[in-house]
Amino acid sequence: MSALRGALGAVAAAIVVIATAAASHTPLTVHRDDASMLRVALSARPERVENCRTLGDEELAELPQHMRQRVVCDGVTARYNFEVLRNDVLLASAEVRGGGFRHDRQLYLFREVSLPPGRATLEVRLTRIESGASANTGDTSAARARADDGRQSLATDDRDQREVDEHRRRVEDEVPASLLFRETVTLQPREVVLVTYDRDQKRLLLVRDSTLQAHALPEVSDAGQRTDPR
Amino acid sequence: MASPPRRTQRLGLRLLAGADSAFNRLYGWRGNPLYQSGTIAIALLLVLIVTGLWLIFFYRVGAPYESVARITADPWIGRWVRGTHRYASDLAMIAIVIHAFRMFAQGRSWGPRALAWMTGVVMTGLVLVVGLTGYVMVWDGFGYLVAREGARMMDSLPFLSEPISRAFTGNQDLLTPFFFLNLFAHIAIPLGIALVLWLHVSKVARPVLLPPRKVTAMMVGALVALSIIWPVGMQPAANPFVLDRTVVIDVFFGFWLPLVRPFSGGLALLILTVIAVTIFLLPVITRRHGPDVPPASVVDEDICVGCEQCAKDCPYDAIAMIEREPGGRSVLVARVDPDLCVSCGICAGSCAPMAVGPTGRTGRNQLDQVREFMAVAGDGAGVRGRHVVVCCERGAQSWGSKLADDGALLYPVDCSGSVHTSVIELLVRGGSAGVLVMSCPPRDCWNREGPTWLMERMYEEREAELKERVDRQRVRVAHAGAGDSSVAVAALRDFIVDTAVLDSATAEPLAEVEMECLTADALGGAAETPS
Repeated sequence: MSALRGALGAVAAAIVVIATAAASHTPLTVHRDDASMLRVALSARPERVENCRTLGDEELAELPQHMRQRVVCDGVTARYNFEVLRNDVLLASAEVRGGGFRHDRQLYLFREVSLPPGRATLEVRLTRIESGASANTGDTSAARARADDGRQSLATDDRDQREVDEHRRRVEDEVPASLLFRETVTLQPREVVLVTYDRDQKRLLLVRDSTLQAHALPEVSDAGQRTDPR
Repeated sequence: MASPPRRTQRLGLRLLAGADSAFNRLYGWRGNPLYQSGTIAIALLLVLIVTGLWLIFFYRVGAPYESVARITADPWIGRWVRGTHRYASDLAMIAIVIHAFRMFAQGRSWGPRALAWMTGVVMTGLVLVVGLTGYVMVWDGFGYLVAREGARMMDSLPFLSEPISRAFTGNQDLLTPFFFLNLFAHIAIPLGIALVLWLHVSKVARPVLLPPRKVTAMMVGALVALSIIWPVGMQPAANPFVLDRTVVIDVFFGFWLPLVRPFSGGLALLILTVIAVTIFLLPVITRRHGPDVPPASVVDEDICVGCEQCAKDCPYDAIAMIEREPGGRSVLVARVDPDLCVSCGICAGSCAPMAVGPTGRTGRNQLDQVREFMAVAGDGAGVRGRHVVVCCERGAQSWGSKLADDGALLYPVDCSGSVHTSVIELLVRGGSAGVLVMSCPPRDCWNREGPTWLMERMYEEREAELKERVDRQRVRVAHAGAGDSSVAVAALRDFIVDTAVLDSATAEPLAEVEMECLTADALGGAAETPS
């Protein structure tokens, strides 16, 4: 009786641990169809729409010394319209702004759009919404350029010069008023292509796994083992 | 007096009774893993630490997938150490869930036990997070899925302006610092678990942290055998440019993935948060009110002799000995902290002069109740010549009728561990053919140490011990869970057979027995003062 009970106990323990191991290797279907995906992921500095003004000597004198800045600018960061089109059909759109409570931080964008596989023309647009916001000229760029010139001409010491340089760097880093990506691509089933922003070239570009182009995508069996034809 | 179980608890208790009974048959109550779920979880965490320390030497944050693949390719040690590590984490989750379910069903999750419940929930969350960071370390399809889904939920938080998901787009290789941070979390969080574990057991006396050696050995042996028989292999490496149709997940750590994937990140996070907070706040939600709240123990300071036995026996450190006012009958007197007392009544069984216990359940109250029982038992014939089974109410409800069919008189009590030995003496000296005390298996005591103290009071002269004058042949302690009806019936039948050879029991005048047990003279003067 005791031996039988011991054997039954061992069998029960074996069942429990094997069931545990089986549950530890459970296939989960995460994508039922063969849809591909366009992933847009980028970060960029949004353009700042500013009203700039040159302070007079009297105004400067009224300010504490550490706050004396010849050219002061008020403004907001621009909003952008984001759109994804496939064969000129709009698939997704959204208004995007800079991050942070005051929207004065970098603009971060992460969107995933499901697409049918096959050949198609993909278009991604990021277009500034604000225009003519400058109170001075109606042209933000012109106003900012003039403000920079003003800063430059009024730079009297190292601190002013650093401010000018910093502002120029920031402006140079800003995303253009309009970005457009348009390309005809052939998407493999379940392939993910990425559209991102190249800060150096100031343009949107497509990133994809080049090894997937020439070969069919690997198949994943129910057991989750990918049979890689490569 | 335990609070009446609610409907969900009753259902849970039925499930537990069936499962406990089945495992008791297979392994005996000493080896029943269901009784050891909490300590098994801790033992498994130790296994995880030991195997993890070995694995950490071979893991490379600069090449996570490749380094794990290298470990797995080692057929001698690496493969089974990794397998043991993985399966130990799975079994730990199972043990934790069983432990939590048991505590909830047995009503041990609220009141003074709320801290233990809440810290237990926090520990479970930490174990889950540690496990998930472990899967991210591998950086295969499952690790990538966990990272993506976690990031998707975190991105819904309004104060994170940069989407974390951008890290997993494939635009650039994940930086080594990410895996370093992940590894740091995988190592550091267990230190937090140790801290929370200390809190978890801080309100119990003499916490038991490890299962019996035999259970530990069997468990580790099974883990190693499993890791050899069913080794953990490598899934394909994470590839952000491919939408895998199927990903092999570990259900014990990825169970939430199917639940959250259909929803937006924010809604998924909200759902998981609501579930977690609800479980965390279960002690508040299930808190009893009014008459459902069992009364805390109280001390009759006029009777207390300051022997400290109740403080020693209390499983929850709820009794402290404080100095008495000068001129009292002893230097020390017991004082119960009602915020710590769970009303288990263990102290009532430990107090020789019957000065402490929950209201209505002190030794004195127990004697009153047993006298009433003896007066009406056997249709007024009393206990003379009859076998009496002292058992808890749960046992009485489950298998009491079967014992009654065998001719025994049932005397249900709240907990066998709280029974004062004078009650047993009164029954024996009242002419009972034998008194069988049926207690829960010691590993399953709802009040932690009741059966242990009961046995020591009966057989090892622990205060308040069963007096020498009581015929030990007519007293026996047996263990049977609520689902162990066959065990209970067999124990009674054995006891009946064993006592049949004894001379006929002789009843003593009850008044004399009462004098021995109860009178003020006996308590104040002639009574033995426990040392």
